[in-house]
Amino acid sequence: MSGLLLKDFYILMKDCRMNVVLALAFSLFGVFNGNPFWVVWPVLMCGLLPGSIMGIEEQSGWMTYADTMPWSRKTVVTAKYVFLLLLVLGVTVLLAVIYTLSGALVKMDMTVSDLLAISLIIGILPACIMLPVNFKVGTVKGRLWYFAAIAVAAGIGGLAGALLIDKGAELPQNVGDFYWLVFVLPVAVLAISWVLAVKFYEKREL
Amino acid sequence: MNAIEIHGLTKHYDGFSLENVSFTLPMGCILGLAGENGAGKSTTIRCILNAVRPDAGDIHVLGKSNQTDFARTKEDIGVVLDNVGFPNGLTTQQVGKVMSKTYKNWNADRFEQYRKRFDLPEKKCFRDFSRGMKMKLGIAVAMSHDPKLLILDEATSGLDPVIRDEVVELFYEFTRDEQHSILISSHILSDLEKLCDYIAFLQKGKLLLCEEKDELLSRYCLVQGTPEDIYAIDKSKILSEKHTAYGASAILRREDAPKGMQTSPIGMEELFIAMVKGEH
Repeated sequence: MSGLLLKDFYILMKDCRMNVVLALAFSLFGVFNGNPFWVVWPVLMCGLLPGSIMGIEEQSGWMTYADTMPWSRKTVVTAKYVFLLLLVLGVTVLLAVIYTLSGALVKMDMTVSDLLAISLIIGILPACIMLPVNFKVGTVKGRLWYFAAIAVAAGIGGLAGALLIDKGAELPQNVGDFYWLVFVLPVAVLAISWVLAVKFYEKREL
Repeated sequence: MNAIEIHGLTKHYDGFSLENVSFTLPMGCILGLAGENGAGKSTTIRCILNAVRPDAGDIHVLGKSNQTDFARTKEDIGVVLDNVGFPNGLTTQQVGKVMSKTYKNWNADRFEQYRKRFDLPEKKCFRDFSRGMKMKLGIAVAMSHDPKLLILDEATSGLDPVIRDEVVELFYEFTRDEQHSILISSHILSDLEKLCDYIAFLQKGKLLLCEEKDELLSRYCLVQGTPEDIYAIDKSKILSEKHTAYGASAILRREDAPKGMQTSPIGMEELFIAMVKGEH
């Protein structure tokens, strides 16, 4: 797997360098601006990079070529998820360090665990939808499925919200009691996403 | 143990079927897979590499089923496909580093030797390579991890004649070790003729023949004479015939050649064109 991770790193530095630079630039905006919005962008961008790298690989025919090398398809999928975690957690640690040292976290009225929670949700969840789709149908068709999934999720979320408001539903009083869910849910979704991606890719004909 | 054993390989697509293909590549030998475009050569290779699931049949590579723990078997297989698919932004040096973390038996010195031999730049991006350079890098990678089996799908196409000759010689040297084997598919029949011990010929998804090359070529001959000489030969014995303003010729089995007629050996290209089109 280290060969696959090294290859992804090389692609990141060569073909996705601008994304990395923008992610760092947005993190610095947060230092001066103090707006939590700037935490979201670097994390979201890093979370989408593994999918972008898959698109670059597909253009060159890497997926077919990699299939001739001594990796199982499970290893190829796992490497992408490991790379996703390294990117998202890496940028989270960087943000935590920068914002703690600069006092920006205090300005944003956030803690390090809030930062981690945002990372897990914003950084990992979109990738958890995108990666299995990419492994199943490729990145070009995958993009259409991905937008369709977001539209459906937004539609269901909007409808559910409207229905709940209509029925006078209220948020639970003790939201803090459910804070642990913010950490557990993304991890659970990541695990399900990985299992699906492995299943899809093992069946796919290249 | 044989390098490759295929029994009853069948794969259906819309508009094309690979049907009941069976052949064996003995250890230490080179088998050429020949056929027209769309004959099923690449499909056969993809089935061997487990990139596609066959509908029927079984395949054993280096003594093991390609359905069981094939990742481990691939350590001993060097593959060059018609599209060498390294990511476009990687350099030769970076490809070497990635491969060193991929193959247990990666030999960095040998890779460097091949890089210099093929005159591949170290720090140029793969996207800036010509087709020939890409193929050379693919060959260098395939041969730098001590493989027992090389699987080459149109690996010599896109190479200039000088380098092609050198690469063919390299493949030939590879099989001097009796534990090394090659399966090569190519349109360039002169390369197959130079290199191969066995020839398998596919046409429209069916295996027409799989035989020892020298025996196959010695079985057929070209006879030349007047048009009347050729007309006199039993039509059922003629594989192909050609009539020009200067005379006539026919390809047929050596034992069917009329006594007294001049015969000459034929090459693989002539033989296969004759088999496919009835012309030469």
